Amino acid sequence: MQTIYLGGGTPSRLSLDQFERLIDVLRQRFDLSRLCEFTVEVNPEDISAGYLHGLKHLGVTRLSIGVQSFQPDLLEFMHRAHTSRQAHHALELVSDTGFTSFSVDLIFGNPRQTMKQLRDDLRQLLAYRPPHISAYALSIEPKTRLGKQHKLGRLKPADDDDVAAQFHLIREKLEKHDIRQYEVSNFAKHGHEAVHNSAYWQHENYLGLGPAAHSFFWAGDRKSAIRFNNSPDIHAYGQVFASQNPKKVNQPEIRESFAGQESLTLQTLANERIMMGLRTREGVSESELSSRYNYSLNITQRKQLELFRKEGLVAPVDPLRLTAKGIVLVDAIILKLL
Amino acid sequence: MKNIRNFCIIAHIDHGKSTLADRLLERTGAITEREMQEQVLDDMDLERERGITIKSHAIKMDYKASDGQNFFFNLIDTPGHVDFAYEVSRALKACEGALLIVDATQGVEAQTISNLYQAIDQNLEIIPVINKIDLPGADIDGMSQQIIDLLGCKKEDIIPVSGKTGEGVDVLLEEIVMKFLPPTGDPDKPLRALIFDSIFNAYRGSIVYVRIMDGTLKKGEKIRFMATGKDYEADEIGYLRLKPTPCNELSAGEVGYIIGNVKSLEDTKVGDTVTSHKNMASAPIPGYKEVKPKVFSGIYPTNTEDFESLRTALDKLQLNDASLQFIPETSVALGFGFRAGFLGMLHMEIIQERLDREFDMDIITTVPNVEYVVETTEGKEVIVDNPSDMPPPGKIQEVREPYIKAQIITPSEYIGSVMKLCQERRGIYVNTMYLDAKRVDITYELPLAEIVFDFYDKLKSQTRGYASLDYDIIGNRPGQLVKLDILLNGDPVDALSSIVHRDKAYEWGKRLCGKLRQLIPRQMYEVIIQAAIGAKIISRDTIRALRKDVTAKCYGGDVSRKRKLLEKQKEGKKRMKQVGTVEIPQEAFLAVLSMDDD
Repeated sequence: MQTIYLGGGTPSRLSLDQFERLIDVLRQRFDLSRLCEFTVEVNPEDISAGYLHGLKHLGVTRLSIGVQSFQPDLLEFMHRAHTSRQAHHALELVSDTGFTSFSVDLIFGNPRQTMKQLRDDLRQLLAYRPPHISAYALSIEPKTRLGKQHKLGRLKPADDDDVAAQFHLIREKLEKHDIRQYEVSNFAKHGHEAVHNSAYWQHENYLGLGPAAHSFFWAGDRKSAIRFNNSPDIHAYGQVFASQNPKKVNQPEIRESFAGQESLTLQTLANERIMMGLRTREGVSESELSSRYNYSLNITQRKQLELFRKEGLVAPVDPLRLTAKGIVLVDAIILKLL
Repeated sequence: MKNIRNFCIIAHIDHGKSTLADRLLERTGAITEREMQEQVLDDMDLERERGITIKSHAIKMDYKASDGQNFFFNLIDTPGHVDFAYEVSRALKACEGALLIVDATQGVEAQTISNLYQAIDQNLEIIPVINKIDLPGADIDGMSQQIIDLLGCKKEDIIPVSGKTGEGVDVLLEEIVMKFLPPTGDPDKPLRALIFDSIFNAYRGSIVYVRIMDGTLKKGEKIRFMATGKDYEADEIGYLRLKPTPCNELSAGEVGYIIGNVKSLEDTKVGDTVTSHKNMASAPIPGYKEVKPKVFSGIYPTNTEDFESLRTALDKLQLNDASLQFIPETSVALGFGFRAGFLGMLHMEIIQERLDREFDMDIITTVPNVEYVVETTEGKEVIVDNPSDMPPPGKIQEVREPYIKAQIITPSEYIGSVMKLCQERRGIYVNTMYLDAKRVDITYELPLAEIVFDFYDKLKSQTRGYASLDYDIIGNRPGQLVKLDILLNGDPVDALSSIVHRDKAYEWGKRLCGKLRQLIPRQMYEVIIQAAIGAKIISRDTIRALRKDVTAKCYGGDVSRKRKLLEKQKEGKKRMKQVGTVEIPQEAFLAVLSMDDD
């Protein structure tokens, strides 16, 4: 096992004792001797110096801090539990504790966010010399709080052009600090790219534990892979593990107890790989597509690629990867290409 | 023959024709209640949904009159929409009488009057009937007065009924016996049978509905269709009961059907005369005419590979709708498709819907237009039913377009709005006639092109649904007509061209560009929309290039979600047409029709 990532909930609500128990269990079940990255997501309002020292002591190598913004009105709009002051305090604690690797989440493209606010957020954030930043454009999803407000006409999403301008600003500012974009939403100093997330994008195997967590398994020589997920309902999830031996989790009869699973053909996997590859700085090489996925681009795709190359959206030579101009249009490009 | 009564029903849409017809069938025992599907005469789903009879049918009823005599009634149903006026005229021709049905809450409408005049012209006896007297808003006295003004009849001649409750239906049946004349005609003369309708059956071929005017038709006899000159054998003949009932002979005055292994409706045209091969009539029944389409539009498969399936579907539709015409055409923008001719907009919509429902065809229809006659500077005449065929402006001497005479009946308080509408549509005022204190009959001459799209809907909405419309084609007249082209990124999109009046071209071009800007989604490149007459650009709009199209997060389960979304978007994209570098959604090709929706 190479990486552990604890997130997608609010793991920083766990006490150090609980953390210790959790990690003990993991040590018992898995071989952690080659572990190179152990990330924990933390919320600014949850942490203290003691807590961070504790995590470090337990083997955590990397923190992901959900700062989002330093602007009080934006934090309030997003219903964040922390204040601007808590965000600063958290970042101070992180550097004081001596975490050399950490990531900070930043949100842009808020309906009322101005360029000035974003510039201010970046300035404040860069003062902490973060080795990694995840900058996400706010997306208003149906059925969420914002989605409902949008549907009712109470919320006007930010103009696409404004969001695009903010995106460019972020990239430009971070670049100046040697924090480079290596995926659509991820920026890092050399050597600080997230190993765990990169595994998702390269179809490496991962096991998701906890409600709603996804897992992916592909025995390299097989013509298909599976992706499956646990029930999002914590009780339903608990019941599965109460009645089954987790050791047998990869056996088919047990997999049936997962809330959802899909079998992915080589063709589907290839489409995914191109989709994810184009989101990254590394891109995806045609030789990889051929050897791992038995996939090659057809004439229509090649013609389309030529057009994109002429437009300066796709880099001129293999591997397939997008230019700075192309990356902001990645979804449209993928749609045209696949 | 003296105990036969052939009649039809003249009524406006929604005035309860079908319900009353059902009641007549029920009272005469032609149909039991169990067999009774609401409104049996309309048997296409589409008809029932739209509440209009598209194709006429006929049904035979036995009636024992109060004096003990037995009668045969043939009720011939008629279509109720202006698109199908010729079929109505042939149905009338097959009858001696007509029931004029007026809704007790609505009054007489233009379509009714137009059909009524036709019936009177053809010397039909009229029985005026006020229907829906069970409704709370029924105004029997007011309606009676309207009918008296219209027909010059007496109040006692008018029969109040309720198709819903059956009230008055018995009186009506007796009146049919008393007032309508028995058919005339000589059973011994050479056979002349009038085709008033024909339908297509997948197993039996064309089924022809006829009224025998003269002579006698025997089963198995060799027959000839006089207009088309085609010969067939009358393999099966019969009466039109609820189900076809075969018989050995149909003679003068009777109504029935003929099945003769006829492969296509092309050979059995409404209005044609059927005669006997061995004793041929010297002349057909007068009044036959080819039904000509008035509205034309391109029909294209959304997926170019569906061209052949579309052809098959249209062929099948044509088998039972001879008024549908189509020929293959090519569009630079849309590829291979067909130019189809329709009787009117309703007819066009019905065909579109049937292609969708019965054949599951995904199609793009282009903006409909009428047929223009263009005189070129070289003195040649060109018929243009597709804007792409319009000669370049420099080569045009004159363009002529079809005109109609429109009769609009409206409550007098809407005179202003009706006249304004007609004026906007380049109408030429003819006259106004008061039908009574509250209702007027306004006559306008209008270019057909101005009324085919949305005139009727506009008329309805501006008169709160009260006005009604009927029209006749009165010939071609010269007009200042120009072809308006739409260019996307400099390339003309032929399927978006239209022919418009010069005075309206600027406004039209501007609005069309604006509408297209709304309908065409932002793309990876900037899209410039231009409207042009010849080489002259008259309007311009820009769809700015997409600036950002990214999904922010793509970890774990997001990957599946994102991939599925992509698959869905790809499906959606199949419904778009790529013209040059621009992707155009289907709706854009009909943008013109929805220009007033903003």
